[in-house]
Amino acid sequence: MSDPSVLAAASRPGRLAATTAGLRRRPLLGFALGAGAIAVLLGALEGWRELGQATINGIVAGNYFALGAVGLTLIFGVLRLVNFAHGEFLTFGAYMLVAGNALGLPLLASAAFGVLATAALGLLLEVGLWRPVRRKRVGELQLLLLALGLAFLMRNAMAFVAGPEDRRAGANVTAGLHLGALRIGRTELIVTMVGICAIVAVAVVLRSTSLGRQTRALADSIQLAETTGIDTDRIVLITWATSGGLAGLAGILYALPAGTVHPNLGFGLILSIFAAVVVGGIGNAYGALAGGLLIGLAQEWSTLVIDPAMKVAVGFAVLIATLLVRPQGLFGRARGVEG
Amino acid sequence: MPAETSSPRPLLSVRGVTKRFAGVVAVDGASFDVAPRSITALIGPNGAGKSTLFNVVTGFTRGDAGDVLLDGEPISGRSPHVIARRGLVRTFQLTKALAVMTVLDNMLLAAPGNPGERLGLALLRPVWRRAERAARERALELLDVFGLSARAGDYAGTLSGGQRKLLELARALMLEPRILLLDEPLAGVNRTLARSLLEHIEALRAERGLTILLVEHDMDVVMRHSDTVVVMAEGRVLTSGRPADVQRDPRVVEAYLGAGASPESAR
Amino acid sequence: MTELGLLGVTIEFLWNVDFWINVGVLATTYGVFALGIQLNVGTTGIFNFGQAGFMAVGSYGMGILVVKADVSFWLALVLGVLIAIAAALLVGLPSLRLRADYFAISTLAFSEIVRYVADNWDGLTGGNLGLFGYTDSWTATSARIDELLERIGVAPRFLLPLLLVNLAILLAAALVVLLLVRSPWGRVLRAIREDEDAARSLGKNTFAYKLQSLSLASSLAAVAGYMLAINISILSPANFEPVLTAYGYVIVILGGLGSYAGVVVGSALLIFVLEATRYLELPLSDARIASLRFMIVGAVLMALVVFRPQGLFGRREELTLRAR
Repeated sequence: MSDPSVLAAASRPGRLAATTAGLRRRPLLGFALGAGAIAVLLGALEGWRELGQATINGIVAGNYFALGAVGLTLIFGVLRLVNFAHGEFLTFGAYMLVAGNALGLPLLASAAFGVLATAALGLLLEVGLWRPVRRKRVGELQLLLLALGLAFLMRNAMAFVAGPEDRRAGANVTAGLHLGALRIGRTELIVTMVGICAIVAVAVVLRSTSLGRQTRALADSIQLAETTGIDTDRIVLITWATSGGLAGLAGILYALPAGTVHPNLGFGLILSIFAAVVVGGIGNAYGALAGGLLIGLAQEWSTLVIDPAMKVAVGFAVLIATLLVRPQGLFGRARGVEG
Repeated sequence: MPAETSSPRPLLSVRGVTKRFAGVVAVDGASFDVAPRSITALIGPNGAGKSTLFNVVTGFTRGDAGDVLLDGEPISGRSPHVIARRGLVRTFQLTKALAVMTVLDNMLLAAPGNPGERLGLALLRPVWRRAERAARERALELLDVFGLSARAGDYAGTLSGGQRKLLELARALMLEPRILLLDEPLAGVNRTLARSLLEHIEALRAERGLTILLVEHDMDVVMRHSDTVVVMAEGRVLTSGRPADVQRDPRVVEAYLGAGASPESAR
Repeated sequence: MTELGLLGVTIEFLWNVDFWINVGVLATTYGVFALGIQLNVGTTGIFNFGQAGFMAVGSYGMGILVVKADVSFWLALVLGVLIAIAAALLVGLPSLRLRADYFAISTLAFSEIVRYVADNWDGLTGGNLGLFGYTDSWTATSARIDELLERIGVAPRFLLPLLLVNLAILLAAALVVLLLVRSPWGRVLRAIREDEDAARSLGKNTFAYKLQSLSLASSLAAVAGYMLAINISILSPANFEPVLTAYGYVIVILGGLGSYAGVVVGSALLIFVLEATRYLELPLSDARIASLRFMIVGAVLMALVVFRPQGLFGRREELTLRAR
């Protein structure tokens, strides 16, 4: 498979030109090499044990970022809606976990309850708000403002009902395991396992099931999907349920090892989730999964060299860098982002 | 193959322009020339790459390869606004009359060189008052030529479709272009208005020495009103030359047959 | 007579001059803030969701220069605006070329990062303990205004000098912005909002214009930031949460997209309602009442957007003429 532009680049003077042209055609490879180089550099400078620990933390964080990002990116892909209220799904899921615990359910059941309740909330919002508003054909600005207003409404409604004080998530946050010189909390390990399973399940569904294919087609182009007879209304409903459910799960996976639930839980994570979505390519689900992991690693690795309190700023830096260098993200298409 | 150019240098020269979109080659090494003071029609079956080529020439899309020369100067890769200022002005297939601004405002907007358009000078009315007044006079003159004077104070959105096309043409002229690129100017337009538009276009060439390049589907129009016809198919320029010659060219017939129609029946 | 028992609302506060002075000070502050948003969204068509961040940059910039670098207050006011403009360029250069919703995301992210940095870079900003000590020059000026007022027979009242200064600033800013919007420069902005490609095809460097619009909005946010900083005397990151941007949009939508008179009226209305609701005597904790107020802000924004998008002063035709 000879790509003419690569060949053309190679015939021009300078192999560096050819290499960069080739890498630009294969973003994932270029990115992996870059990440690997950074990892090696950090390990050499700051210590391999520190790198290993930061990598573990990065994978744990990348988990819930990825799950939060997938839902957000799918909603954008399918509805062209930037759901600023998405972070509140994470908070809602965590609170439903707390509610389940309060009702006396065992932890696992509470978590399942939380996921299902958030999925239901997603459906409710679609039917009660987004669908009627779409029928009304409101403009782009109105949709953005609606999402912003909804975020305020949801966050403060939860604060109103549950109160501003922290609630306990109900899991053991102190027990831990040691893998050689590295440490991982027991709860952290469990949620990471659950998270990875969920991510794999999502990837499999997207790739191999007809539902997944239809969703991806719809995210690619609504007009195209409609002409091939895909039931867009049904897919939209399912996407909302998925977006809500996965976000609720992300919130639960965050809260359990962190130990507490509070009204700003989702709001505190949404910036990194947006960064993950943009880095992966907005509208691309695989991109969101990769982006989540990337942001998680970037933030944790950064603690090796800068003040750990500033690690969220790293997510922002990655977001800005992406917009500067490759606004369509790792997996997006260049045309889709120009104004 | 580019047309044989007589002694005047071509005003617009397209050389080997290529544009790819996600694996599809929309324009594949297209080359042709546009002679000054001519009316050139760019034709071809649907999907031939005409719109994409237009967008590359006018700077709205970045080409992957090739050059575009305006009167010998390269303009490929430049921003659309720079190209417009250099004298290559385009209109759009779906008219972009700024609906919520008045007809007059549409025209005044287009007037180049108004110092009031710079933030540093915008508050100093005495500095730009004269330029604004001059622009206003020119605008009213042009509106008169196109029969729109009576609507000068109305929102452009209240104009009929045909009037909007005239407005777009008048507005483009405010920039004093050397060459006008008209993207399907007669699309969706009734016979009377089409005739009026074509009269205006011919007058522009005759009275103002303008060069016109237009994308057009109506073969009747093309044959009767253009000096040169450039035929595109599958992203490439098949041939270019005088209308009568092109119409008889077997490759052109085949291109249209291949797309399910013949040039005569393409309307 | 002064109690409406059912709602637990006492309307005595309406007779309290200090209440009105307070409303005036806040309304003028948010008015200047919203002028910038209106310029961006209502006139230029760029969705600036980070106005709170620019406000923070301006006020913290000024505060830090005065408190930590010993710069004169008046010079710091000028430098703060320049810093805010620099921030606008920093945000705008990478993201203004992108689609509108991407730009919204970028500006919102920027706003949050500014707040985050203000919260965590304790050494520079005082963290959440706050930054204070920049008000000396103002205190002196305020005292002088009090003297002048006394001479013409007006009894001194707390914050009255600030109200007068703010009012002057708001009216001056509104006038300047209005003149700009009605100038040929403003005409290009309005064309960009309508159809950016059309403007580009007519020779306008729309990217530069959008940057200028954003920079101007950022300057206005900085000035609003000064008004806030003087009012509360101590800056803390909690003052610059994105809810401010939500307030700004409620004002802009309420007053009508594109209407600058609407901004002035809208800010007065919103602030009056927000401040008046502080006097609701509900059997709830303070925290819960605060949450309730924010819930209402969110709900009002949503309701406005859906049911009355043209606001109070927006023109109906504008909505129906748009192709969208």
